Amino acid sequence: MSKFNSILRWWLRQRMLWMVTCLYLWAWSVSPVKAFAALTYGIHLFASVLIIIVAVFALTGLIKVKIGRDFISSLLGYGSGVKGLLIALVCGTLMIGPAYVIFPLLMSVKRLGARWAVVAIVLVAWAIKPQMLPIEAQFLGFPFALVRTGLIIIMAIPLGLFIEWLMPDERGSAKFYVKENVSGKKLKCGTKQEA
Amino acid sequence: MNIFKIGLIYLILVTLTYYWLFRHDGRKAAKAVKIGAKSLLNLLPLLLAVFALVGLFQEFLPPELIEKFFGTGHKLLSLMAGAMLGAVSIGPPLASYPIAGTMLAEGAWPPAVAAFILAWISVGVITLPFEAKIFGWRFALIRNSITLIAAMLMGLLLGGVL
Repeated sequence: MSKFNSILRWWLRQRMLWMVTCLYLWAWSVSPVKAFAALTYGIHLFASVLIIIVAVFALTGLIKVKIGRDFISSLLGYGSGVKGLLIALVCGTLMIGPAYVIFPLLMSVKRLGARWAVVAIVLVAWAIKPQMLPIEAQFLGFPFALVRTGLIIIMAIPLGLFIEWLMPDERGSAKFYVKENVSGKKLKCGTKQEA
Repeated sequence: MNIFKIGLIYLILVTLTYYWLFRHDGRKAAKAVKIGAKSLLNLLPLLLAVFALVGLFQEFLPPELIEKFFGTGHKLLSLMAGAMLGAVSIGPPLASYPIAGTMLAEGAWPPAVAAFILAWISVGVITLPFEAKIFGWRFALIRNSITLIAAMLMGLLLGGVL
């Protein structure tokens, strides 16, 4: 009985799913054909990215188990300096697929000690698409495609830092830790992993 | 390369890593599978809802329809409209290029077209609830708002350079 209750509670918590169901009921009342076409489109889109979603979640598990907090903190944490920001820029540029499938992976890296700027830079740099440049140029011309890409490369790090600046400062919170050696030199710092 | 092939490459790479981990440390590999599966199951209803919503948008508010509305003569308005259209649209960047190309061919202001592409890739109004569930509302709202403004500014810069 308690298991049934917990399943029921879990279903009731899915507010977004209920909201979309209501929208579909409205769409069905307006035009059943369009509502069916919308559902088919959504299912096709979901099916097309399902493999990538499964792969990303599998990778999330791997990162949580295999990569240590100290490693992520020193590479992408507040103490990593320009190196961490540049790694984020390169990762965002090279990764392919829709950005939203990478959200859980980015958050697990964040929980392991990466700074907010790293998350933001990866998501901004997602708009740099070197592999798509020839196609973009075909539709919009080479100058347009090159200048657009160049602007994002220049703006990604300042934007990421600005977004981080607008977030609460974690360095002062209890979650944040800084490791120092005997002479007081900062060795590494980052956010403690949530339990 | 289509999204299915990209996914397949990702999956093969991850499977190979798991294979290596299973051989070295079976317990850790099993734990990783459990963590990944649990995260996926937790977020699956939200993902399904987002994709269903994308379908509704596509059918009831296709980009081609909105495109007609923003062929305005007012530059600032068309810049904002371009960015907003990109923000509410969802899909691979590849899909935004032909639409943007059509806009340019029809005489749209280049900065507005640039803002449209940038917002299409970087701003996600439809995926906002999903982003907020993962990162929290504060980060999701700040990131999307700042990126939307940046898309317009970069659009203007692009117009100045070209």
